[in-house]
Amino acid sequence: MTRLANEPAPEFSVPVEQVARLIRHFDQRQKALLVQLVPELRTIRPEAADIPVEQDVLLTYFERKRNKWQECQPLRGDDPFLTGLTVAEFFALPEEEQARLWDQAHAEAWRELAGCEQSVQADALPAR
Amino acid sequence: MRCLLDKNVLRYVIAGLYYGRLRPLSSLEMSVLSCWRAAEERGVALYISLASFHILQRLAGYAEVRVLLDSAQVFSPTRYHTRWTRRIQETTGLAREDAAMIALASFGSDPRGRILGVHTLVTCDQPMVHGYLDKLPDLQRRLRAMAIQLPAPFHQVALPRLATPDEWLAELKEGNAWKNPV
Repeated sequence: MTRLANEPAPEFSVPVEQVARLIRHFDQRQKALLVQLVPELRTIRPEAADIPVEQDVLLTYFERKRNKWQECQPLRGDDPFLTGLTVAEFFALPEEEQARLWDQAHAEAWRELAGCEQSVQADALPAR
Repeated sequence: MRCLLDKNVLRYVIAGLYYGRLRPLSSLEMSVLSCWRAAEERGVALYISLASFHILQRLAGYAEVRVLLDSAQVFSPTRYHTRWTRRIQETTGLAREDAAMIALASFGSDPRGRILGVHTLVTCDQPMVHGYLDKLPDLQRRLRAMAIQLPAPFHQVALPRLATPDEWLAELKEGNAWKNPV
């Protein structure tokens, strides 16, 4: 029986290796059915298995915040990002090159914003 | 407590959110995300520069960037920012962009002009931190000399604490509110 998306996950603890042994005995039709029933399997990369628990917890925190912005799309590799590069192209660059392009974009932004001055209240709270 | 996030911090935040489900993150990516979370949980007000806001606004259609924009307020230069930038540059020899960012942490304010400066500037740029710390006594002296002649609220301007994400995270976890150098 399939579980509805908003249904809470059942509490059970079958070692994943045990499930894998079972799946290896499936024929092609059964494996295809499994992917239909668990569609997120298509998007999961094998490297995700190496993600530490601490990172997983941290990402869950930010995903809850991100879910508030349903009208915004999540970043994808082929999305335009900076200086004509896509997200994947930008982050595939060596660290120094990413930093150079990011700094350059900031330098241009500062030039465009030259002369912008925020007025401050006389009783503004200093950082002391 | 108020904290200004340097441009490089924002880049690592975006990379961390993008790669978070795809691969193990680098220690720096983990560190900036942990800082962000710890700051929010402790009620620290986060700010980004007007220039960073300008860039991120163009990317605001992406949920990861929207989350960032939603969590931080814009911090803009006030009167005397340019003068103090020049003095920081003369004193430290840092690049103009770095000096301008440090100056923003003192002579910067939110869109309503209710505050002046931040307590901490978080940056991943180690040479910038060292360049600043090496000349801190000189900067303190020069800022005092400059501030004494300025009208309110600028006469109460303070130097920020510069910290790497790891340093700041440790402070947040220990619950220590850093005191400004001036």
